[in-house]
Amino acid sequence: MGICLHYITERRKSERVLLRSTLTAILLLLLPFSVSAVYRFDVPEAYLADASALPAWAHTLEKHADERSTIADCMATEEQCDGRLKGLRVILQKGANLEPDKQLKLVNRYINKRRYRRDRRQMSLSVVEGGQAKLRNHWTTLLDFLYRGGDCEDYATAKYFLLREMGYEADDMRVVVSWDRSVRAHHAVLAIRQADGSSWLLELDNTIRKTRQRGYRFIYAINENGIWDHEKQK
Amino acid sequence: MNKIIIAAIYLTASITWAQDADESEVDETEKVDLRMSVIESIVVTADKTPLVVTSKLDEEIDAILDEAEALEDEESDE
Repeated sequence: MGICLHYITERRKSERVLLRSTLTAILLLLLPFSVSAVYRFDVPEAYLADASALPAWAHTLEKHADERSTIADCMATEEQCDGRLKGLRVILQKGANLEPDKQLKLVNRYINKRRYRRDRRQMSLSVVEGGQAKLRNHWTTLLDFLYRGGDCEDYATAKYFLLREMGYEADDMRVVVSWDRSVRAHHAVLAIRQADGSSWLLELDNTIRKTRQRGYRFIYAINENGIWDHEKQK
Repeated sequence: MNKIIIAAIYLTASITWAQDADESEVDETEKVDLRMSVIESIVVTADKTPLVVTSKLDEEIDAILDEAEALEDEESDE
C-alpha cells in the first residue's frame, strides 16, 4: 500500500514538472512575437538621417516632384489626362469626398489592382559602381508605377505618393521595410500614423492591419523627411 | 604664478574637451554612414503578390474603382 502511494505521488510530481516545463517553453517561444508588435512613429531615437542620405530614394522623390505638374494638369482638365491618369483623376476627385478610413481603403485597393512585375526588379537592382555590380533597392514614382507596375516596395511607395496627392502629411506616413516572417524575406508596406501614435499598415491583400502586425520585424522606414532605423533601438 | 597655472589647466582641459567632442561627432557620423550602407544593401525581395478582389466589398469604393477602371480600359482600347 505504502509503495503504491509513493508511486502515485512521484508520478504526479513528474507530471507537474512536465506541465510547467511545457508552459515555460510555450511562453519562451511566444516572447519574440510579443516584442514591437505594432509599428510606432513616436520613437525619436530611431531617426537616422535626412532622406537625401539614401540616393535612390532621394532621386525618386525628385522625379515625383517633377511629375506632379503632369498630375496637376490632368486634375485641371480631363483632356490633358492620358491612359492611367484618367483613372487616377477619378480616384483623386471622388476620393477627396470620402471619410479618411474609406480613403485609405480606396487607395489600398486601387494601387493593389495594378500589375505585379517581378522581372523589373531584377533588371533595376544591378547598379555599376566603380566597375563593380552592386545590388541596390529600386524605388518608383507614382506615374512609373501606374504605367509599368512593380513589386511590393513599389506598391508601398505608390500608395505613399497617392495619399500625398490626396493631402495626407508626409510626417504621418512612412514606407516601412521589414523582415516578413511568413515568407522569410524583406517586404515593404506603407504605415499611416494614427492619433494615438500607433499605425495602420496598408497591405497587399487589401486589408488594413491595425493591431496584429506581429509577422513583421521592422528594420527601417523612409518618407520625404527622413530615414528611421528601427534596428538601432535594440 | 598661480593664475598662470590655473589658466594652463583650464586651457589644457578645454582643448581635451574640444578634441573629445570632435571625436564623438566623427564617431556618430561614421555610425550613421555604416547604418546607411547596411540599409542600402537591404534588397526587398518578398514575392507577395497583391490580392485580386472579385467580390464587392463596399458599394461607394467599388463604384469609384469601377469608374476609374472603365476610363482606363477605354483609353487602352483606343
